[in-house]
Amino acid sequence: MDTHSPETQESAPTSRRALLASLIAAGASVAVAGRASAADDAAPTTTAPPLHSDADAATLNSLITREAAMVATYNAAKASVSGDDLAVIELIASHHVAYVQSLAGYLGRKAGATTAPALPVNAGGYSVLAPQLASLEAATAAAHVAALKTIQGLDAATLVASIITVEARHEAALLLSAGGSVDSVASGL
Amino acid sequence: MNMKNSIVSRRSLLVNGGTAAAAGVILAACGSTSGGHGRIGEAPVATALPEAHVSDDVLLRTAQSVEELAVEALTDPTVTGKASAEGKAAMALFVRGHNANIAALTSVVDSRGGKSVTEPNTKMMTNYVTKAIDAIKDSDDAAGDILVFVHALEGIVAATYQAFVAWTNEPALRSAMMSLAVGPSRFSAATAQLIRGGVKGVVPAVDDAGAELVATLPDAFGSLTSFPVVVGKPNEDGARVTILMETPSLNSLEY
Repeated sequence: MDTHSPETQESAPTSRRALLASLIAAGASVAVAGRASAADDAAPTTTAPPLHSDADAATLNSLITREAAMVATYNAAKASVSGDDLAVIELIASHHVAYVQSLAGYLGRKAGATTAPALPVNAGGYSVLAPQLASLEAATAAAHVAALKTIQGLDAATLVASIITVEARHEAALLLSAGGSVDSVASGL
Repeated sequence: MNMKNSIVSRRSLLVNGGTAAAAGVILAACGSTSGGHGRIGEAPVATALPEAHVSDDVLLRTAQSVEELAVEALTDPTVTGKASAEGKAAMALFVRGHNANIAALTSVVDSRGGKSVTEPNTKMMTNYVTKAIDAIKDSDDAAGDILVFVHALEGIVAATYQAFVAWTNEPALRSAMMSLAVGPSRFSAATAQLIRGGVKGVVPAVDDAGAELVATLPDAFGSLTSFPVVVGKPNEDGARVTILMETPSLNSLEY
């Protein structure tokens, strides 16, 4: 069982509804505060966000751990598939390796462990593995979305954002290439 | 005709010309110095454009306009009329997803005291969607071209959110925007599977002529480069309409 609390499927998927609800609450308070101070504060006073923040290290390290676990999971899955199926598993595994390397490269000396145990997956052929891997992809993307709430540095945020869009594609690719329908891709949004 | 009357003598020409020149000098001296043609040392006063800030609210409003654009394109009569059955069914699901995103964005914009955008992004509509649909109308393979167009369109919607992360001030808003990017990313991948399905369609590949084929997973990281759309009937040289779709820039934001 996956024991990394920010990354488990049970806790990681921060739903769009929950995210937006919290945002609306924050937005409403900002709007009220803005109206209250509008009389003496007409000009925008936003401060540019930092490109890099040392405070992001813990969050980014948790994402590295999750990505490393995905690498291990795909590497374990390789033994169960062959041919074109193997090509897909190897391609997605290489993407997760790239995510570990890019996040660790960003953190430099502040990067923690870049290896992690594989996540639990029931053994089987591609049609058995792919839907399970798709669920793990969804949870991983959700962990990145949740992490963005606390990431201060713009460079780290843009890197994480570029990972999220592709992990969402991973999920759809795995579902559909294993015989799933477009409905399964669109559901849950 | 009297030959004598038609001859303009050198003397009369000089007299009349001199009179006209003198009159011109007098008129010029009496004229106003304001307006008229620009001269060296007399430049017209420039009118400054109104100052516009790329605030988080501007980005939210622009995201609304891009989602509206997607709905408008996917429900266009040409697109729905010429799409294959499976393409049409998929697009109906995508429209539902975009409408959910619009509702979510509207809630956030309203809560921040902003004014929601309910129309498609004008520049993107003119530069991308209208051109693509016009080309698809005359296409020999409209159903295939529609999938190519939808694949890029969904990719652009997702890339818009990704691009906006770099411009957004509030971390919570970056997170919310990326939660909205997940759907269009999946839709783009699903459309890629409709174009080139199965496990073979997931991996990047080229055809016999060396041309790049559509792949469900073309890159390891989300791309912010332009999304090419090649659609329509070939002209006499074999060339087809090529549209390079890009994420909103400073001239297409909803200020």
